[in-house]
Amino acid sequence: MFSNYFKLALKVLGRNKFFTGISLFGISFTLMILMLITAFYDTEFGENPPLSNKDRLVFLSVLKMELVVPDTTLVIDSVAQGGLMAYDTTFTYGEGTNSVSISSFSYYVLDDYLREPAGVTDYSFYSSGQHSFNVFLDNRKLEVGAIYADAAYWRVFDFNLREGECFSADQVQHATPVAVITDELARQYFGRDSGVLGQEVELGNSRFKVIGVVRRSRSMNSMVAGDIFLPLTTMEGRALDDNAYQGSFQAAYLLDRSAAIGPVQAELAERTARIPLRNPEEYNRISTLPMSFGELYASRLIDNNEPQKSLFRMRLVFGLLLLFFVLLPTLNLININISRIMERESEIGVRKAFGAHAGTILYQFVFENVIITFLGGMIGMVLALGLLHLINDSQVLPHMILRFNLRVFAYSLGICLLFGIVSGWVPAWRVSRLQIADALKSNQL
Amino acid sequence: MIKHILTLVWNKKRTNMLMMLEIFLAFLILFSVFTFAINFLRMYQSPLGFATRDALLVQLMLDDGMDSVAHLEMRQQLRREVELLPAVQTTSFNSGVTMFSGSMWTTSNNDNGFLLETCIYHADEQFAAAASLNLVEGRWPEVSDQNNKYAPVVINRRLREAYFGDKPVIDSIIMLDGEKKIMGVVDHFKYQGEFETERPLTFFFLPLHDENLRTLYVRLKPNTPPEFEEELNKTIARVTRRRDFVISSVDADRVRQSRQVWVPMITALLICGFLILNVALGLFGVLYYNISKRRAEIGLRRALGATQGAITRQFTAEVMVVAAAGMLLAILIAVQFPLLAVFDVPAENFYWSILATTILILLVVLICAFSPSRQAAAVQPAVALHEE
Amino acid sequence: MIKLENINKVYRTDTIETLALNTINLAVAQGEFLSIMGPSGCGKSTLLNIMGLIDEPSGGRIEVAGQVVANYNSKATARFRNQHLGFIFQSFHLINDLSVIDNVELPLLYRQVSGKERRQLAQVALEQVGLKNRMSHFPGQLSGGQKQRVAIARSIVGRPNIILADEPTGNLDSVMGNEIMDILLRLNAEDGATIVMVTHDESMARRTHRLVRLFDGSQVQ
Repeated sequence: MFSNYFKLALKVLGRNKFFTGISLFGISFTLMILMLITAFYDTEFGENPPLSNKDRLVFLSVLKMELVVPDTTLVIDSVAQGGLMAYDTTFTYGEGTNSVSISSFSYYVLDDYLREPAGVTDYSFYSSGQHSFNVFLDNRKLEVGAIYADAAYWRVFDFNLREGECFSADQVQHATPVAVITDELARQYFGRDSGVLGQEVELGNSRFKVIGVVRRSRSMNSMVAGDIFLPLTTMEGRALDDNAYQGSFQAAYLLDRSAAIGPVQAELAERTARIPLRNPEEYNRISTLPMSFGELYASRLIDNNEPQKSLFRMRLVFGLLLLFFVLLPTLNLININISRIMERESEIGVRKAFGAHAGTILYQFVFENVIITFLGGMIGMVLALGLLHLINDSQVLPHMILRFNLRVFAYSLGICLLFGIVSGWVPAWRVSRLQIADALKSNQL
Repeated sequence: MIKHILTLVWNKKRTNMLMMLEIFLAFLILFSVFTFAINFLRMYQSPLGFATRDALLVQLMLDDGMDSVAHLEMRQQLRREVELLPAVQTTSFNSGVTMFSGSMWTTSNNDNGFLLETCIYHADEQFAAAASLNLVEGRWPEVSDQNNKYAPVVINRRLREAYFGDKPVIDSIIMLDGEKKIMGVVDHFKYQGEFETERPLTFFFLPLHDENLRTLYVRLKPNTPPEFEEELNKTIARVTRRRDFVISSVDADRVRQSRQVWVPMITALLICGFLILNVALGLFGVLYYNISKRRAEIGLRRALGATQGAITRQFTAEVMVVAAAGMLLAILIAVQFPLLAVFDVPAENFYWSILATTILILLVVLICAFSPSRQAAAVQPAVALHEE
Repeated sequence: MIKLENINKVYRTDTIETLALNTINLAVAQGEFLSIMGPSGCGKSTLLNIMGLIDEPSGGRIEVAGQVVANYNSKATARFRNQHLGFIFQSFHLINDLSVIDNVELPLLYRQVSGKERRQLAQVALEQVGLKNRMSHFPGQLSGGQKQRVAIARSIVGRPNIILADEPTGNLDSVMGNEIMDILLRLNAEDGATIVMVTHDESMARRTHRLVRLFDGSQVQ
């Protein structure tokens, strides 16, 4: 039965090359774009190293300090009462914010107040996204992004270690000038991506000994997208001793496998709010919003006081965009398929007259359509691979490397199947319900 | 004839429904992308207002605990030594909120009901000359102005238009962290990037001893080779006795910043182009098929005295009516955006977008409908009528 | 009314040349009801199409309603067809997506006639074929005989001088066929319409004024 359908499907495809061409063009491009989106999604949100545990992570990234003052609003309304002017006075008590300061945490606040919340396996304090060094190497300038971290950083984020080792708690404590670098930096700095252990990298005022090489994170998430990783005690200046509240540090907490994210977020928020403030005239309120990975990502795109809402809105916006994007080619395909199938009205009439029932015909057409879709999907995949290569090469998305892995392939296959069934079912359903007599004498006006 | 076409379209509503829906959707998608693109392209049109080429920006790292004398001496020495380099034209110290840095400093002041909201940019006395700012009124503050009774500020034209209208502003006193005197008006200054809507902006003059002056804008002579950066690097390292500062090219920063808009915009436009091509091809195929199915009808109409032109017009018009119905529905939805003003986008951008989308879709539909109609209208009536 | 002189029609494909009509000379007088008979493929429909100016002869001269028609495919021919000729087909050729009255109005659509007048004229034509009560039905809801009556109404709505009928009874049973024939005869007798009818049916042909027989593209009688 299937091989029969298959042969028929191929024959049908060959018969009307014009429609087949249009369908294949639409399917392959649509699926190509969907596959690219899937690859992008997988790079940014997939459970890939170093963010394999992203669903078990809670981040502290922003510390907000406010000076809140009681605010009385006085409204005087003049109203005419019985020909006389009367005044209606309203007082509104509320609070006004006089000044706000939003920044990352200082090491001191994290160290003193935000260690070891309940339900957490491990946690790391790190400073990322704000340290960049110019390195001049025989007339080349490298811009090197550094992440200063503690030893737990390597347990929270599972980098692919290509050689050597990561720095230990001991090395962090003693501010040993050691560095873990990415394969990309090794290539740029030393001209090779292995065998660089023990070499030295000169950054700013100091020299660091390379003790490990990790694979660079393919995503652009700032907590892992560094070129070089240094013990946080080697930071220049007095960033660690400074007792200001705000600084350049962030924290990531890795939850126990059984722990829920809500209570951890609540505890961290509450502990932050209770931090005593030395100078209430300057700022009298301190707060933070502990966020999950998705919320952190969304809050960078859509600013909102509630990260959950940001995440919801981001999902809504992207979901709707995607839906709209897929709907149009699907409708188009349905339209083409209706014409394609209507052309074969008499074939359907004959099949029905000889005993095929509506269901069989429906399956036949859906099957045919799935085959075309897979054909289009294959072309689309080749196009997508080519385009991925181009995107990665051109550095349109700096430092982001899109990959087409098995998971993306599986997603794509699912998309193909869905696309084929949906766009084939509607017209097939319409045709399968044709009256035999009408189908047979379809050659009228 | 119009009524006849409407009757035909109405009587075939089942077949036409899908096509209408497709046009409707295509309109909405194109409309959103065009609004996005038009919005940014219109922002892009106004000039940046400062020089990005042949300019470097240095994020200085300064030791904590320097007093203001140390700050002043260090900056004076840095300026002297950097300006001595042959490739350097001038230099200017700015605060950490600089061009393309992504950060913004805003303040507002409510002075007896006169609410003033403005962005703030801090710079020294050489900034206007170094960055080639275009002052349309007044002048840039000089070092001697720091001892005036009122601290000097320069505003941008946007602020002048928003709060002062046609009134003279030079030497006016405004309340912004104390009383400030306006000394000049700058034409444009889009320091957030090329795709920024210009907001009211005030330049605060800071003297060299101010510890907030943490970046150095270095204006170079034209055609300075990039290798110069290393020379500058050594000079700064020697003067500040630190090596963890960062030098970046202002123009490269501009390109990097703008790319954040260009990349999604071009991607969206490319995807749109593909969608339109896809819809056009599909429409063409479907219309070609539908019209060829009506060959007998065409033959009949020809026999009854319709000219080829009349047939082409009729069939094209039928499709256009369906398309117009879909577009009308979509326009009804699209005009809600400027009317409800949910997004922070000027209303006229929505209207331009609606216009552009309408024209594009009409054009596409016209092309897709005209050629099959014309081809079908050319058949011999005798052939078409006896094709059974 | 119609004058054909030395009409030839040759169909050419790559290899074969078929002579569909061979030197036909024929004159139809005003008010005449002429029928053309012959076996399948003898060229009768071709002849009718040539008279109706929807097909071109390969050679010869045609005069319809006193006008020599030589320049085909121009707007003038279309207008001429619209004003002087009415067509009836074996398979009715009604537009399924239009109601009965809209179908009948069709020829008037290609003239400068107001919508109101179109409707009136179409109603009169439908009354003549006895289908006024089916005005707003769609062709799919009618029987074969009724469809052909609609087609007749359509052919006379524009008051043409000549009605060309291509096997009008071919798809109908004898009862319905006779009804259609009655209507055509009445149109011919009462309104003085000139009718040329192609038919297979000897009994129908016998009811007309004159009979012309074709065989292999030549006139035999």
